[in-house]
Amino acid sequence: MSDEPAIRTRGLRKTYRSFTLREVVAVEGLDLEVPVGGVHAFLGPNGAGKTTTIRMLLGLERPDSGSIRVLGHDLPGGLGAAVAKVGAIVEQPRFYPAFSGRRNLSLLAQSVGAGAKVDGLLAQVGLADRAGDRYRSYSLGMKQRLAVASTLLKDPELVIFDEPTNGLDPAGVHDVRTIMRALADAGRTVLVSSHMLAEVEQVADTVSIVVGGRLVADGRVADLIGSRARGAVRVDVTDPVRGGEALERRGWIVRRDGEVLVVEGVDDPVEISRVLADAGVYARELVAERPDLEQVFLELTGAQGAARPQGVGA
Amino acid sequence: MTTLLRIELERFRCRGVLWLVAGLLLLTGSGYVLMTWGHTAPASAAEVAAATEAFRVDAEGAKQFVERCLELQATDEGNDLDCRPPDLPTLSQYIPEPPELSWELGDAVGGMKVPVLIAALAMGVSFVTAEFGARTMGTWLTFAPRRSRVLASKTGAAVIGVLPAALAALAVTIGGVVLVYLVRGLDLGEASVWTDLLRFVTHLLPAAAVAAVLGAGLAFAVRNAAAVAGIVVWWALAVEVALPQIIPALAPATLGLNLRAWLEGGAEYTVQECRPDPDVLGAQVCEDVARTVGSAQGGLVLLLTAAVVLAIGALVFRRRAVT
Repeated sequence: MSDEPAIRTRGLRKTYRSFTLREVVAVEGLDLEVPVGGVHAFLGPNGAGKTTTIRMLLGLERPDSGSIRVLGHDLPGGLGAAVAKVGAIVEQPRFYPAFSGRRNLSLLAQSVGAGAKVDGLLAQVGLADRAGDRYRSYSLGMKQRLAVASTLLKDPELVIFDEPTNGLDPAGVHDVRTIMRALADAGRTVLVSSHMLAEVEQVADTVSIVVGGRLVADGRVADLIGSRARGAVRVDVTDPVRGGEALERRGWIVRRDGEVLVVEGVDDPVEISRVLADAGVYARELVAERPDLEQVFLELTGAQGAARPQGVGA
Repeated sequence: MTTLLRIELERFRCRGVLWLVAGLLLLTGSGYVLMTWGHTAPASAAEVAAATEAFRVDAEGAKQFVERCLELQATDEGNDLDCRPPDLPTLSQYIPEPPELSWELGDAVGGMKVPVLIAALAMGVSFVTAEFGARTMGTWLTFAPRRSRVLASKTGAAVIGVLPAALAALAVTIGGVVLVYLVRGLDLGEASVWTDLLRFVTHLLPAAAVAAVLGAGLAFAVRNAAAVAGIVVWWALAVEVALPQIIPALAPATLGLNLRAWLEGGAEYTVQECRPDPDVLGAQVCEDVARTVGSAQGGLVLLLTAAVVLAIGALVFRRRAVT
């Protein structure tokens, strides 16, 4: 396998004109790299340019400038060859409302010579019983399931899911997560854009975070979280007042959460035990709080500009 | 490409709206058959009574004319009068007779011209705009990313899909009218009826195909059925109606005239030609001169128009983002 990523964009830029002819920048100089294999999360707040980027990767929009390479094919010239190996759901799933789920899937399947896979995929996503019903009668969750099935028709090397769990019940979310993981474990590349960070964290291997159309962080999920792990430690002590004073004298920031102290800026929790012991206060419980992807995401997308944070990135 | 066309044809076949349009077209054809049934009905008792009365009145009038004439002839003033009775029609000539088949077929098939072309245009428009309206085009492009192929297959399917509908409607109309004549035991007329009819139908079907291409091209260009309807109405009013009145020389540019020329083997329009008046210095004499657009020219203009609109549609479709 070559070192070439599944997706690579360089200086990708896309602008729109508003009704007042004002230029709106959707994507600004985006350098995105999605490694081959595994699940890559593509995160960002609303309006960050995620869907626009995905649409450009699939040739549904033309970038103003910049380059795109997907599965070894430069776009737009190699669009046909690239898209032949890509399964994608972009925004809301869209199918013919008056056709049944089976007919919708069958029409798409015919275009890639996968007619024989239709019934199996419908069963795989739990739609076998409703496959003959019109698409317009489907719930949002069923529509998502049908869309997931459509992405698997091509036996894709790269699967792009744009908010795949929207409208799904917990069982559906679990199913989609399982499918994504299974695809990645089978050596395929999954790019998933989602707001459900807890879900993403469970399944993603790598992540890119965009804000205002720019990449602000990327890398392995564990590395990204770890880089911000100068974390808080929750300490349940026999005397919170004295304990808190002792810890503050050490230079740490201490908050009270009921009877528990939350100490921030600690590199090694063993230090806390030592300081408390020196002050004659004893810890009943000491738990290092592990930052999660959501915290990292909020920190990166909260009140910051487009600058790339130090120490993070591939 | 063949695969895409086959898929598009299946989509066409499965779209209820298109079946509805085809059904309306058949209904229109059936309407003409019903009208023929009415036109060819034997005279009712009331009509026979009215005809008998009219015949009696005319015969009585003729008799009175002869009597009066003979009276005058007997005098010196009228001795040179011709008092032979006028040639009176027979009673059967007073009773309404069914029209000839050629007339009835001409009316019926000629009347189907506009419905067939409108239906073809509407089917072409609806087939494409439905895809944009339901926003399924984006999904489809992730399976068939080459937009020129998507456009070609969709347009091809629209053309292929429209033709059976048009053919069925014309078959119902022609077959129905002939059947009415057979059931009524009426004369089917001369063979030339069928030659003219064949010529008309073989020109109408390609025109329907061109209308479908035009509809698909417009739909790819503006993506919205209401917008296409707006453009068609604007074109009809501004170009087809107003323009030839303002600048008569531009009449050959109108689609209506070219369509008529294509279907009817030629169409006339008039332009005003002026020349200096030899009798009055500085004055001009103007007269209306008839000019003709030939059938081939009409067909060519229709074909070129459809090609240009489809090219615009292709350009827009290739360049604009698809949701």
